Amino acid sequence: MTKLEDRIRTSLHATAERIPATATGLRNTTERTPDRRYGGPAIAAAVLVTVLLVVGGPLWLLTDGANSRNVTGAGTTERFPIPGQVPEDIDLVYGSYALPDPADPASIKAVVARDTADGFDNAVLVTVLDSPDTTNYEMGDPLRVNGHPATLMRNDGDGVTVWWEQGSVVVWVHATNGDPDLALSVAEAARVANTGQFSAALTTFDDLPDGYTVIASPVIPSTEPRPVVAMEGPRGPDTPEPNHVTIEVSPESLEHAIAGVQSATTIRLRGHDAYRIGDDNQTGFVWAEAPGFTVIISGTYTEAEIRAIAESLDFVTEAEWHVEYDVGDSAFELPSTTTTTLDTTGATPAVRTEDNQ
Amino acid sequence: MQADACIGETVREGTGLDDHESLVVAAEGDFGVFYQELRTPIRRALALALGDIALADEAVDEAMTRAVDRWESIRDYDRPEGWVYRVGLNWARGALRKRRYEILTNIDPDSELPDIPLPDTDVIEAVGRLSLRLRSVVVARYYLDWSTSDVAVALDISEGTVKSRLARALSRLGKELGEPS
Repeated sequence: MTKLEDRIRTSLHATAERIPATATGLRNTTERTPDRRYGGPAIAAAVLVTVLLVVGGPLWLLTDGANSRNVTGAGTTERFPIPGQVPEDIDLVYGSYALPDPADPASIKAVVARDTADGFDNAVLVTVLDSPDTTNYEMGDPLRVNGHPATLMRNDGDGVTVWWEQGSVVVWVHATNGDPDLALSVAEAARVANTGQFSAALTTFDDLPDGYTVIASPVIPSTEPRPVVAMEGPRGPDTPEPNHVTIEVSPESLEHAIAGVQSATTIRLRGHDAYRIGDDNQTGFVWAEAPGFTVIISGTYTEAEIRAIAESLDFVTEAEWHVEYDVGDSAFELPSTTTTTLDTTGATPAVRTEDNQ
Repeated sequence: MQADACIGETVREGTGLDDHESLVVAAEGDFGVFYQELRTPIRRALALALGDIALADEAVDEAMTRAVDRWESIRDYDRPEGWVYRVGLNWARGALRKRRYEILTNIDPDSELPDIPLPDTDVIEAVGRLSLRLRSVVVARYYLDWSTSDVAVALDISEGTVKSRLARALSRLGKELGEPS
């Protein structure tokens, strides 16, 4: 036995001997489960929806609703996150999946951004949707892009979007900084060649604005779910929006994963190149553990605290992850909505959707 | 087993407990011996793994109650206490949404006990920062002093997984405590 093992053993025994005794006796616990279990799924679902909207908001825009369908890798690979450190005030930790909406059309994306000394800013996202139904798109200002009738939509506090129909596809160009001139410049530089095949449109760019480059090339999003671990602090009258952290593993490239944010700075994390993202409300980091294995962590804690959680991450197989978060071994089904929360009590079927909370 | 027939019977009268409270029952027969000998170490192990004494109390009693119902088969296991430890952990896992590890705040670490050293709080705090997955293996190995094969059987995982988790836990603890693992 090593000195370390001996130290652990001695300390565990010394601590155990100081655990106060309680009256021994069997309890009739038939059909009894911990009180805390029952609030879990509903709270988890509510929080996950909130967190994905709050934290994932920018990333959502990146993939225009199709972002949830990405490859997590096979279940036998160790790509499922378990945080080794949890902030003191966290009351709830659970695992879940972000699942694709089967009704969403496939999309192809590209990201253009302005280079900065230590990262980039002013990201512009280009998304091409196959055969979309445009009848529900919000109305905006009419204009023309490369001869196509187009629409400029101003999203309150959330950038501007230029979109137009081109053959059987619709092209979206979204400027995260809200600059309509930038969105239009990139839109006019975009060359979309629709091959007529499913998800096969090609996007290239001519004459981008000065200082701007393509930082992420088009990809076809996967239809696989990706794992999410979320933490939530206590809710109360004074904290309707509790502290939270989300950790998500994505098969997207690092650039795709971070490009949904307006700006990012480069750092080193866990021995990898990483981006620091965030705004006034939260801080996050994005890095690639390996190609196609990108991790996104974001939360309402300080940069140092989020970094500590990121450094403490352990990645395990899907089976181990299910055991850790008590989600059982049941195969999940694709839900009717984009976000699905696995039941973390293990007492009921494993999948819950937003619809049935 | 005949002697165990009374186990599981609830003694409601005079307890002052209602139907929603835990009810104390008597344990007799060879389960009674098992219970008397193993409840305390399993309870302590669960407390060390979970970091929550109250939850460990519930978990050990839940697991022991389930053990009563299955005693005819469990009694023949090499380590029935392994089954109880696993059931207690699994039961508590669903309740363990609150992940604070509070064992050191639940005890008086400075209390003097004859022949028992004071706990090294750095070690316990470091153990508390491990995930439950790693911690349950560490506690079984170094507190319950089970072999890796016993831990594997108890937790229903492969011995290779036990060794892998132990190695990972020791690596992390060694790094935190400044000692080679």
